[in-house]
Formats: sequence, structure tokens, C-alpha cells
Amino acid sequence: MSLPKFEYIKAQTIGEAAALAAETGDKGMVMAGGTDIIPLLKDRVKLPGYIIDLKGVPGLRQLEYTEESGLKVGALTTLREIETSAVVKSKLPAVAAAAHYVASTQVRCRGTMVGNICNASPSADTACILLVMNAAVQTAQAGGAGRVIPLSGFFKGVKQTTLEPGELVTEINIPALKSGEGSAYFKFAVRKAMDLAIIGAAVWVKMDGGRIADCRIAVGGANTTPFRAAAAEKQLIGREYGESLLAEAAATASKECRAISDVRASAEYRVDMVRVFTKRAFKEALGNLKA
Amino acid sequence: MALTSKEYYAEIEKVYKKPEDYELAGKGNGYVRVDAEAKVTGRALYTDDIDLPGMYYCKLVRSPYAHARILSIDCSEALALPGVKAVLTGKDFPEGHNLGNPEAFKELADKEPLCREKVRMVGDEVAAVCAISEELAEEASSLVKVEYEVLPAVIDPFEAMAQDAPAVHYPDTNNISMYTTMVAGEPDKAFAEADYTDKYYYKTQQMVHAAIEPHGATAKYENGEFTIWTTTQGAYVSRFWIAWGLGVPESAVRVIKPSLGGGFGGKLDAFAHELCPAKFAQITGHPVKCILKRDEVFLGTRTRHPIAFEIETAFTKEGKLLAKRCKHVLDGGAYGGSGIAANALSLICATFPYKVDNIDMTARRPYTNKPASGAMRGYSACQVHFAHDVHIDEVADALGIDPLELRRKNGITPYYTGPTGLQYTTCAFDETLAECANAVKWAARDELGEGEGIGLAGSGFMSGTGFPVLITPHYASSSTMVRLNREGYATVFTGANDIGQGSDTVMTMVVAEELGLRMDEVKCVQSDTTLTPWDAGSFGSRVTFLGGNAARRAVGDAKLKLLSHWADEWGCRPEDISMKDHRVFAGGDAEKNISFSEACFGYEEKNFGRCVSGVGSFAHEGDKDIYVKNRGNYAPAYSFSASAAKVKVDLETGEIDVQDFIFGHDCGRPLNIRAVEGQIEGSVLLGLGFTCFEECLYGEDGRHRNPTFRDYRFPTALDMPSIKSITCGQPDPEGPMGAKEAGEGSTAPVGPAIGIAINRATGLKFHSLPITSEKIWRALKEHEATGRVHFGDEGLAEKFAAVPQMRNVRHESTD
Repeated sequence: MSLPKFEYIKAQTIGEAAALAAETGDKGMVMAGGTDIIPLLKDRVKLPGYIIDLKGVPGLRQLEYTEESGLKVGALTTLREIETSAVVKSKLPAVAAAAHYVASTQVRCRGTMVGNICNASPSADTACILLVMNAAVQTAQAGGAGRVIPLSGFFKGVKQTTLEPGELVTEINIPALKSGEGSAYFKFAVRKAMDLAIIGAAVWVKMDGGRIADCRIAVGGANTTPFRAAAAEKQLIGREYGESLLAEAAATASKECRAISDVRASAEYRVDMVRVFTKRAFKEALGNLKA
Repeated sequence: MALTSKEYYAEIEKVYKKPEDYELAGKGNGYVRVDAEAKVTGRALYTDDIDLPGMYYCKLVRSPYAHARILSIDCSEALALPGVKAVLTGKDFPEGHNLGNPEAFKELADKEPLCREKVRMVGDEVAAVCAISEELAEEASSLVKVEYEVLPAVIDPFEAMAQDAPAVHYPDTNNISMYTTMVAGEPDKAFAEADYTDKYYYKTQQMVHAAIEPHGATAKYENGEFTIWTTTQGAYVSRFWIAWGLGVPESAVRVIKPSLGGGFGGKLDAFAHELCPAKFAQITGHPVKCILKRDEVFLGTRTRHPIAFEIETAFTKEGKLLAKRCKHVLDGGAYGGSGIAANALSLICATFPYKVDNIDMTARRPYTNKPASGAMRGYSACQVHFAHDVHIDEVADALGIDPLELRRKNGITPYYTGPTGLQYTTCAFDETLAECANAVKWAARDELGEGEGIGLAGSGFMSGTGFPVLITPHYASSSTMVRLNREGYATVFTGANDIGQGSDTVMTMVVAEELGLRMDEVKCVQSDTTLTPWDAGSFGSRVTFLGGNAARRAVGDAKLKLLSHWADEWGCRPEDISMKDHRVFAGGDAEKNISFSEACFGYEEKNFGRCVSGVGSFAHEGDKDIYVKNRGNYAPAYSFSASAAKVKVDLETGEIDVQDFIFGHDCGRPLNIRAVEGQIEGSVLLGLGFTCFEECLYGEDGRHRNPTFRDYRFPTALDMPSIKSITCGQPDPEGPMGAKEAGEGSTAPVGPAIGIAINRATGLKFHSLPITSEKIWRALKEHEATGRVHFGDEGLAEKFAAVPQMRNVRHESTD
């Protein structure tokens, strides 16, 4: 399949990229790995006049971790680099796992985490874990200083984010896990690779002995955007952990879905799987608490 | 009494190498694929790699409606686009020259190269455009304006057979494209006398071949001859239909099959994407290429027949199968083509792998407004063995007999003759069952944990079918020529079509083995209608059996000439001379030997320079009655298989984890053990996809809902279980060097093995495919609420009760 005609611009600086994005507006598309954009072009779903490639911009491929500021993931850092990084696997194993769930090895060698969230698919594999980790993105803006946008304020709808025209994500910041905290992400799909999630569920939890001091639950693939299951979280926070409490909260999380039926799964199935995988992710997070 | 081919070739067979002397055949790591390097380095040429100077591109215009009348086609806007060279519509092809599959049933051909008056499925081809680039051709195709009158569509095969259903093709036929019956013995009497009788319903879905290489063709027209490189499983059969569709003699068409990226039965038919570039090449004088996109492959090529089953059986209380009645309804989709064989195959498959003397079976293949169904690996067998073997497990439970024992008690034994005349030769069905049961720890199956289950299933398949692609029943199914070169090598010209399965390697091996040459001293020329002799194509598990025998007879012919010459020189018999290590040895005297080159040269010297060459053919002998009356022997041999699957079902999500898979296959002598294992592993992948993953979904308007690899999910390598392959049985006396088939029959027991394992794991009975996680989840919930056990057979009893009695059928095959 051939690509449609477009103007290809390889930006040299982030400022140039942002300016070009602002200038081209609806006619431009910003590309990092290209693994979401190229198929859209081939299928003629998008016919942009301009592709603004970030790959020539230096300094966007960082993957740095400190206990104080957590993990910084650059706009060009590939999913493969994240999933295979020794430090990510040991410090934020659920983040490495979520990166690993995306598509196939070949796609992950080009695709980026920033691209995964900017594409804003309801079933984006890395979105849920970033939501529960309270991650935030750093942006650059044409003629501005850029912003910090918490993930909770990033997704607006299917394939829609709160980024403004000419605004680009330069990095994702993921806070470190502190003592007593754990997190987990499960993707539920028809096959074990090369697939879109039927649903995904992520949990971050902070334990104080047997008590749930704090927790966050995020669900993907069920609603138009990945969302926080706030009512379920509320049910759990401050309570002593127990199987029946978790079962109740998981049922609550599933009630927070407004899932749709499609060729992958029916709405009822999605809703019940949110219950099952919220429960399983919570238990997995409990098993991974940082000492 | 006419001479049999066995008698005809008897002299040649005397110089065949003795099995105890084989150095390549049946040796595990004896040799590698002849195309291994070309393929792993990416240098192998596929159809899309054929790029010719000045090439143009063709794009087909397809119907957006499942059923509609074409009112007008306006190509003016497309033609006005700069770079567009020509357009074609149905009237550019000779009227009445419809495309089909077997030449012997040409009157059933029902597919116009481009639709003239009516479209019968979404994706039906109505026009074609030719332009200087693929992009322009694509753009021009969107500018062709077709005015349609939308007609009511029939999507469900049972609704298609209703009295008031709209006619897909022919009025007053209940849309039935093919009706087949098979009766033997005294079924009514057996049912009346049986201790146990039953009636069950099953259903399978529409799936596709999903060959990684999409269909396509490149054509040129020079010196009054068309040359077409195409993705075909049978160059000669494609040549016949392309010539017919273009209205030119076969001598004016050359078909070349380049490397093929998988066929699986989906590349047997002739298509618009072959005829249109050929016609454009003639009109423009430029070569023209047409490669389908994936959604076009889904819509415009072929699928596996969905089949609905009504099965009744009669048993004694000790578990002897007395009789079987069944009705099969096969969803034919919009066209016939290779699909017209499906009915008969479905009934034949229902008569094995268990002995049953009394049968009363019918098959109906209604047309519907969906993509055409056709041949697919394990043709009809995968569907039939799923239904009929899952059924055997239900019988075992009802009779309180161990399912393994019930199968072994009724399994076909060597040299058994079936009720309609199938003549089995070697048969290791019992051994395949026993080996699988042993490897899966069948005896310890009561010790499984919650959600775990083991399923065991068996199947058989014809090896070397002679489906009559030619009008005459006295045809050669496979032909080969071999030439011995005095420079120290041989060349084999085989008609066999390597579609990725490795037949070039097998043909090369057969010749190398017989001549005592290395594999790289045999050059293989294959599937080109100008260079290689006639072959019916790669289907019906026939290539190794028929092509391998043809290659052996061809090399045997050459060998006999060569050895007869040296027998005269040396004063011995030809059969006393052996060929090994590039040398020719006089019998009994190890000192007396000459090189292969010397031997050839000596022959040529004596025969005025004439080179040593041989020709050979092989066909399954039989007459057309096999295909018209379903009486007689369908194939020269039959393979047998068993499978055992161990699964664990997540009872909360319905997820299926196939933890272990055992495959026992009787393919006679496995000529290339690694190729046989590869076929078995590929079969398990296909069977797993069929059982748990894959299904084409349609809207009520006949629109395909998942024509992409994103939404049509076949399993990946990561979804595969570990597989243990066990080859069973003895060399077959008719097979080439003792081989029987290993590529298709091996797909058939996978579905029932996994299905039964799921049934055992969940305590439920699933009667339709695919069995997905969601279906299990839903069934478990319903079982909890209502106690219901059987799922997937909803409404089928009523539908079968309403199936019309046959009248005015366009084609009936019956006895």
C-alpha cells in the first residue's frame, strides 16, 4: 500500500517543530515513531499536507530515573527501550510491563510512549498505568514556555487530547514508587501480541500495614478515554484490605464503565472484565509493594 | 482389461532404489529446502516482485452492495484523469465465458470476469482501470460512477433456501448450487434395531486462508501471447480459465507461478485480478500489474465454507457404530468455483475415520450474497471432523464408554473398504490414537484440576485426490520430465506447484535419491506452462503423492535407459546396477564403477548424442462416477491423524490456555521429517485459529465487519501451545517412497481435540465455532443461572426441519 502525497519536514529543534505545528494547524501532523500515523496515512484516514518529524530533534530520547524525580521518558524514547530497561524493570515494573503490551516487538522498536498517549486511543496500553502513577507530561509551545499537564487532564475524547495547536509533548514524568507503594497493569485481549485491548486495568496502591492508605484505579478500552474509577477508589481508601472489600470495589469499578460493543467484545463482557482485572491488578500491585 | 499404470510402469519400477538404500528419503536432517537461502535472504521472487519496464497498474472497481442490479457504468471521468490508459467493464469479455474451477464441470462456472448486469456480493468486480501508477489507478477507480438498483440480499444459508428468498443466481432453485446425497447399506433398519440413537446439531463459521502474500498478477502481451505471473496453486488450471475468460486459445497464454507466500486453497480459482491486467496488457502494449489489498482478499477471493450439521447415529450398547444419518448445509457464498467440491467432500469425510456400513447423508450448498466459499486446507474435513468427532464424545458419555476406547473400537483398520467404495491401504489410525493418549497422560485425566480438560480426537483425509480438473477422466494428474546432463547434474521439470509447502524440495530429493546425486546437483524447473509438463495443481493433498510418484517415474524412465545401456556393456541386468555418491556401480562388484558423468556420456556416445531423459506421470485411476455418483474410491491412499489437547479455562474470564498439544499423524514414510513437523505445527496453528479465534463477521446488509488483520484475529506464535508431533504408521505401497499426505489431513483433528478439551474443562457442550473466551464466559453465566449445558446449536433443529425437499436442482450429484 502506498502513502498519499505530503510534505515531509524533519525539524531540527523542538521550537521549530512547535512553530511548524502551529503554522500548519489542521494540515500538519507531528510524528515520532510513526507507528500510529503511517497506517492512518496508508488507509487514507488522514491526509495531512505536512508531516513534521521529530526524529531529528536532539535530546528527546532520554530515559532517566532518580528516586526524587522519578522516570523521565522523552518524546523519542521507544517502547522497546522502556520495556527492556533494567532500571525501569526494577523501579517501575508495571510501566515496563505496560510498554511491553503494546503491539509487537517490531512496532515497539519504533513506537514511543509519548506517541502512544498522544494518539489518545481509548485502549492505549500505556495510558492506564500513567494515570494511576500520577504521571504528567511536559509540553513545548510555539512562542510560549510550555506547560505541565497531569495525565488526568490530558485525554479529552477518542483520539483527542487537551494539547493546543502548536503544542507538543516533549517528555513524560512518572513519579517513583515510595515505600509501601505498588502498581500493576493488566491488558486483556484476544491474543497475546499484536492486538488491541478489550479492556485494560491499572492500579496504584499505598499500604499502611493492612490498611489501604491510598489507591488509584484506571480502566482503558471501556470508555471513550482511559478513566479513573473514582467511586471504587473511594470505597477502598482508608479501609482494611480484604477479599470482599476488593470484590465490592471491583464491582463498583465495572459500574463506572460506559462500554460499547464492537467486533472485539460486547459491552457486557467488557464491563465484567473490568471487574475481574481491576481485582487482579489490585492483587498484583499488593504483591509488588516497595519495601 | 485395460492396462493399469502400475503395469505400464512396471519395467521402470524395477530400477527404483530399494528402501534400505535410501539416503535422503525419511532421514531427519538429510537435506534442507532448496529455496531456503533465497527465502531467508529475501531474494526469492514473488508475484509482486515481478517488475517490468514501462509497467502500468490495474485497480478493480468493486460493488459496495451485497446484491444489486447494475443500471449504468460511467468511466468518462476516470478516463479523463491524466495518466489513466484504459478501463474495462463486463462487456469487454466474451459473454458466457464464466470462470469456474474444474474443467470437467465447466457448465457450472458462474463467475463473470467483470459483472455485467448484477453484483452478488460486496466486493464483486464491476470495472477495472489501468494507469501509469498505482496511486493514479486507485484514484481513477474512485471516479468510475456505477449506478445500482439495490436488491434484497440473502445472508443466511437457511433463509437463502426459503421458497420466497431472492435468487442470487437462478430462480426457482432454492438458491441451491449443489445438492449431494450418499446412501449405503440399510440405515433405516440399523436405526430401528439399535440400542442407542441420537440427534445433534453443530455449526462452524466462515474463516479465511489469510495467506500472508495477497493475491495478484502481472501480465504482458508480446508476439500475440499473454504471459501472466500469478499467485496460483495450479498454473495449468489458471491457464485454462484465463484463456477461456479472455476468449483465446490456451496456446496463446503462458502462466508462470513465481514463489508463493501461502495458498491454503485460496489461490485455486481464476480471478478478475488475473484477467483484467492481461486484457489491459493487450490493449496498451505495456505490462500491467494488479496486486490486491488485504480487504480485497477478504471480499473478492475465497473463504472456508461455514457448515451447519444435523447428525444422527445408531450404536449398540457396547459401542459399535451401526449407522449414521446426516444433513450438511454449506454456505456457498456468491459463487461456485473450487467450492463445488465441498458437498461431496463433506459427505466422504463423514464416513471416516470410523467404520460405518449404513449411511444416509445429504449435503446442500446454497448461494448467499457473501464472499464465495471455496477450498481451504483440510477441505470440508476440518468442519466435518469438528462436528462428527465432538459428537463421538457425546456418544461416549451417553453410553458410559471411555471416549478413547469408543474411538479405537470403531476406528478404520488397514485395507478396509468403506460403504461407498473407498479403498483404504495402510492405516495407523489406532496407533495415532494410542500414541496421543499416552503422551497426554489420558489414563490420569481424572486427576486434572478445576478448569482443566483433555480432549482427544481423530480424523482421516484423502491422499492424492484426482478431482477431475480435465474433461476426460483419463487424464494425467501430475507429469514430470527429467534430463540427465553429462556435466554431472540432472534437471527435473516438474508441473507441481510449490506454494510454500516445499514440493520443489521433495521433487528434487526424489530425483537426487534415485540418481545418487547431491541435492544441489539436481536443478528444479517448476510450474511454468511453457517449460514444465501438465499438473492439475496443489490441492487435495496430492502434490507429494501424485507429483512425487510422477517425478519418480520420470527419473525411473531416464534411469532405466541409462542402466539398460550399462547392463549391456557390463553383462548384467539393469536392476543389478546401483547409483550412489555420484557414481554408477555394477551389481556385486564394488571395483567396477564409473562416474555419473561418464555414465551419461557413454550413453550419449552410443545413441548419437541423444541425452538421457525420462518422462513420467501419475494419476489416481478411476472414472467420473466417483465425482458424479459418489461411488468408488476417491484417492489412492488415506492419511489418518489423532490429536490430544490439554487446556485450562479461566472460569472467571473464559480465557482458554492450550497448555499442551500432541499430534499423531500417519503419513506413511515421512519423506522430509522436518517438513512434516512443520506441516503439523502449521496445522495446529490453523486449527487453533479455527477453534478459538477466527470468524468473518457480517452486518445484515452483507457488509464484512472485520476485513483486516487487526480485526480478523488469527493466533500469533505467542498464542501457540507446545506441540509434540509423533509420526506413526508404515510406508504406503502406493506412495512415492512410501509417503502419504501430511499437509491437510493434519488440520482436521485439531478443532475437535481443543473443542472437546474445553467441553471437559467447563462441563459444557459447545456445538459451534469459534469457541471464544467471551462465549465461554457467557455460557458459564447462563449455566449458573439456568443449568443449560448445550450451547451453539440454538435454532438449528427448526432450521433443518424447514430445509426444502429438492426439486429442479441445477447440479445434482447422487447415486
